[in-house]
Amino acid sequence: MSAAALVSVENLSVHFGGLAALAELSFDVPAGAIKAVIGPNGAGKTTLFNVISGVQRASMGRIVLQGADITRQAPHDRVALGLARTFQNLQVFHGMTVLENVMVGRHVRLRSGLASAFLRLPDGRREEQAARVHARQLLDRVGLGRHADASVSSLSFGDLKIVEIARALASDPKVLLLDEPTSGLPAAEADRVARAIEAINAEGVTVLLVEHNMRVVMRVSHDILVLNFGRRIAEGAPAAVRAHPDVIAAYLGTSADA
Amino acid sequence: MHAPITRNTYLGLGVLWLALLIVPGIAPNNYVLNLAILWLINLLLIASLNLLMGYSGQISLSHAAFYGLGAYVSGVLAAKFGVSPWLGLIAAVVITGATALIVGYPTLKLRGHYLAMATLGFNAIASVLFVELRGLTGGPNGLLNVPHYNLFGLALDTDASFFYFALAVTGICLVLILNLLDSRTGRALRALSSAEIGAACMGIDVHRHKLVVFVVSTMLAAIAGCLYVHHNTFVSPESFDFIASTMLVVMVALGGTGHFWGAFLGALVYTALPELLRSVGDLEILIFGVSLILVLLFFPRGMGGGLDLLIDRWRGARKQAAARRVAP
Repeated sequence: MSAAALVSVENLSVHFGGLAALAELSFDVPAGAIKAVIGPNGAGKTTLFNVISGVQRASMGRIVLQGADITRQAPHDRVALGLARTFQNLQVFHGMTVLENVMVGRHVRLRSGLASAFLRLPDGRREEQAARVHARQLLDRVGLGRHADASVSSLSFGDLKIVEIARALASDPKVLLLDEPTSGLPAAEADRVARAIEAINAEGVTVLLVEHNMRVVMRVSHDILVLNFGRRIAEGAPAAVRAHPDVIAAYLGTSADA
Repeated sequence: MHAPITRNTYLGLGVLWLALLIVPGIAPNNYVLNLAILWLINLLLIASLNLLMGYSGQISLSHAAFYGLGAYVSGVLAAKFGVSPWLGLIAAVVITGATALIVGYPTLKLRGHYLAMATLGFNAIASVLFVELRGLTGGPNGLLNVPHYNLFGLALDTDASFFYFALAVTGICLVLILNLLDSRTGRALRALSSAEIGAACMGIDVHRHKLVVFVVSTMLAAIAGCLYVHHNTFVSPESFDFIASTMLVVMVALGGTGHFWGAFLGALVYTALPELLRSVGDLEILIFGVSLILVLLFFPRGMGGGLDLLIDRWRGARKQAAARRVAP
């Protein structure tokens, strides 16, 4: 493995009752890489994301971010350390505008507190204004600028997936966890997301990606981890993983490129 | 859907408050003026619960108990110990906030409606204490001889003077609520009410934010309690029982949860309806229940939401008319 691991998962297990969703899983995400996690349904991919982001507790093992053990940290503290994520089934903030959703993503990089809020202190207002400009720029970058002031509930599923990416980027993450960013999208949209992932990575953000669309995975990943029943069955460069007999048996052989 | 807070919301509030300045001049009698004062107090009460329930998604079933705690702390200090009602106001806000912190800290750690359950219990305890601490509260007969506020030598003992005072206090509190909603903290509250896991994964300390908004909303209720007790000069426990708390929750829903102007309508109903239905006696509760069901059936987003629909329709009609005028 690369010496410069941004995220290390060490001997991680998650049990739901008697079922092991993840079993003694270890892998590294090298700094600057795009790493994909693939595997059949129920392989433990979303559980892995939930444990890394802190939504789900680990039964055993450690998560290390830039040398710091974050296994017991609350989700919000991990964001402050540079970890951001999106959700397969969306966790957008309904009742708010697209711009406000992205501004929520900026939360950890803003400082103004209660006194500033109640009294509308100038410092807080300036910070808000800057956050608004920042969010607008992010939306322009992902091509949703014209929807900035629309209610988030009025957007299509595909656009909401992009809003979640913009919202995650608003926290200036070091590593971005993308949970099936192209699921439910038509092919042209999926390509747009793939391009966006490459652009984000080119700006220095490490990406960990769960994805079913093999075309996108093979195109963007530097490195692929294959899970089945919570265990690693293969790991390596896309070409090597594609040729791996266990992978073909467990995954590619049974479920052709969608 | 939370109606967005804009410059127009502040403007609307300012215009309304200017218009309300004439109420003491045009009120036909003290009965009407007293209802106007009661509306201002109820507005503060319902708006503060709307901040918690409508914007932050946390249900409290003891808002009336915190209102009562504020009223009794300031009232007892003034009536039994001769403490200035101004110091009493500070004491009421601090003690109520501290109590809310104790009730909210453990229960808000849990995901789900544990706050509703804990506050249900708290209201029962508070009601018992208001009755049983006879030496302090006067028990079921109520607390008598609570003094009026005195502002730089001017006693706020007339309905007109107190109306202006309540107008100022409620106005300031409403501006504080708007300021909070239109801030980093307010955005975080609205986010966590909509998607708690999403909010946590965006870096929001969900527990801390829930606790802050719960404490703030009870402190505002305590201020309303102080206004009430030092105007009425008398309080009794049944004003702060579980029924009252439930009614407040209903008024937030009726006005429109998470709708800033909804609280104004909810407070109007809460203040006026008991007066209007007084003549029908026991039928009151039945008429009330049926009308509530009807409103929520046709306007699930409450009266505030219904108002938005009407305004949208009116704007749409105007736009169509304008389009017809342009077309040959």
